[in-house]
Amino acid sequence: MSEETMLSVLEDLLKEEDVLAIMLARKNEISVSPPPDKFKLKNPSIFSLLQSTMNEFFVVIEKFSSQGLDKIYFELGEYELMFFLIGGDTALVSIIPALANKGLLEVEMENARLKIRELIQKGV
Amino acid sequence: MFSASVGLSRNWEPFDAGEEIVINTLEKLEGEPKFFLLFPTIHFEKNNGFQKLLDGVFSQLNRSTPLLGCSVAGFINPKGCYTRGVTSLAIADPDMQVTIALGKNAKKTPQKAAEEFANMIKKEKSKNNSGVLFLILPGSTLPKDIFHRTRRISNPLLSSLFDKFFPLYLALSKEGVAKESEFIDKLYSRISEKMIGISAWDNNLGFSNYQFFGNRVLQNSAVGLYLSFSGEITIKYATPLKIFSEKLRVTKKDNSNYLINEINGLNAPDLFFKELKLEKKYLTEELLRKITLGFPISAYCGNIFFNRVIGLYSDKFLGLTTALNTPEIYISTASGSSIINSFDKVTDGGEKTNFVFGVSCAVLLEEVGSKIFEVKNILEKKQIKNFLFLFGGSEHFMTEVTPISSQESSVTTFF
Repeated sequence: MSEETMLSVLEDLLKEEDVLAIMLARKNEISVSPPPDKFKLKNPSIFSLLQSTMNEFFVVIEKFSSQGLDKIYFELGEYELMFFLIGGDTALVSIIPALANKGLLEVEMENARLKIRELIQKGV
Repeated sequence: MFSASVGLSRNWEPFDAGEEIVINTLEKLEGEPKFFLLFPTIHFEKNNGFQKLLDGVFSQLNRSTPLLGCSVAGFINPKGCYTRGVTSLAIADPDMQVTIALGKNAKKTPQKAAEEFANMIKKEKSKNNSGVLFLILPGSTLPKDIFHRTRRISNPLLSSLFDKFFPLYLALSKEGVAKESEFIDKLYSRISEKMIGISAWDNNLGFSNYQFFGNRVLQNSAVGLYLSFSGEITIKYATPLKIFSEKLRVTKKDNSNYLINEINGLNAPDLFFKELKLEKKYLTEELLRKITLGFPISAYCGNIFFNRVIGLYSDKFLGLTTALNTPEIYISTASGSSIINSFDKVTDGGEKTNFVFGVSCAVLLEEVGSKIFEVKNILEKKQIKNFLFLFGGSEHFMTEVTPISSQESSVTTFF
């Protein structure tokens, strides 16, 4: 799948005011994300930590994926992390403010996931 | 022959989005559009984006075509579910007559705005045909600098001042509280048409919202469209909320019916949290936000159960975004499945029609999040192919007897 095409989906999502950082994480592969200078995080180390621990997340994700695991949320101080899973080995991950209107953002996360799934299926 | 076409643009550039949406709406429309409705999300707000959007629209649309619209929190159309972008509706029907209306300063002087609006409708509308009014009102707004992502007034002095001077603020304010009930009550003292309506909204922060009338971007204005045609009009209403508390009685409130100070003779916020079995000292901003959205105040008008979201909270009052003059109230709540089921209910019968048009509350969209895609699945299962659902600040409707404004509900009409 073309990184450029994936990047355009992620960059589109990053234009949302409350999407502070975004990446497409893939198990045992380098994640795809816009350049960190485009992120709106006050604390950029959160993103680095997330990137470096993604493979550990995938160990757990894979175990639950056969049970229908679809999304994971967790709160991290003033931030919230949303994982929208694409199979057991790929996840669309965004960092949003803890008090964001998460429901509205979820709709656009779902649209991005649908688009990424479509691109993966087409082998773009 | 009746033809309805719904458009979509996901372009971030407002002028290009305007051009694109007219092209993709009109290419599917069979006939000349009688009107063009435009519903963008708040993302176009910066850098005069709404005006650029309208400029893009009118670079493709004949300037004589009536255009109305407002900012919304999101929408569902045959292409999908979105909380960013712009959608549109155009209808062609040689037998349909269209009357547009505008009421300026609907927040500062709602009665005067309603008079102005009613006069435009009454002057132009055909006397013989049946019809339906589509009404767009400005939604309530809060000052961004004071209420950034919170609905709580924690400062005791500010709370006391707000409580004491709210009627004065309401009388003088050109912005802020929407005064939807005041507008609608006056309007329906002059007209009696069936109605479906929405309040303009943003991305659920409640900081700003816009209305569109022709090529003008407006704030604090009521805009509307009266469609007269032969045939029956169906207006359907559903709310997913169920009664959570026992019946309660408002015993002290401000004269404008926006602030509830006492319920059953007790401090209203204290009683509210007691009913929810929550101790106020444990209330975080996040929890408070979930509670005030998830447990609105509800009441009956005849056999219609309607709701008011708690938009503002302090130790002295529960502040409603729309006035409520019924003393008997309930605290109510909804589950994710009851929200989805309410869309099922409100679209029943739509499969036999040409087009389903619905308005719903942005709070319901916020509560179900990406599960809103199930609503689209329901419509597809019912083989409803042509539809548009908008999510705004409040829903308004008139069936037979009395007009009602509600929140956390859905209203539909079928063509």
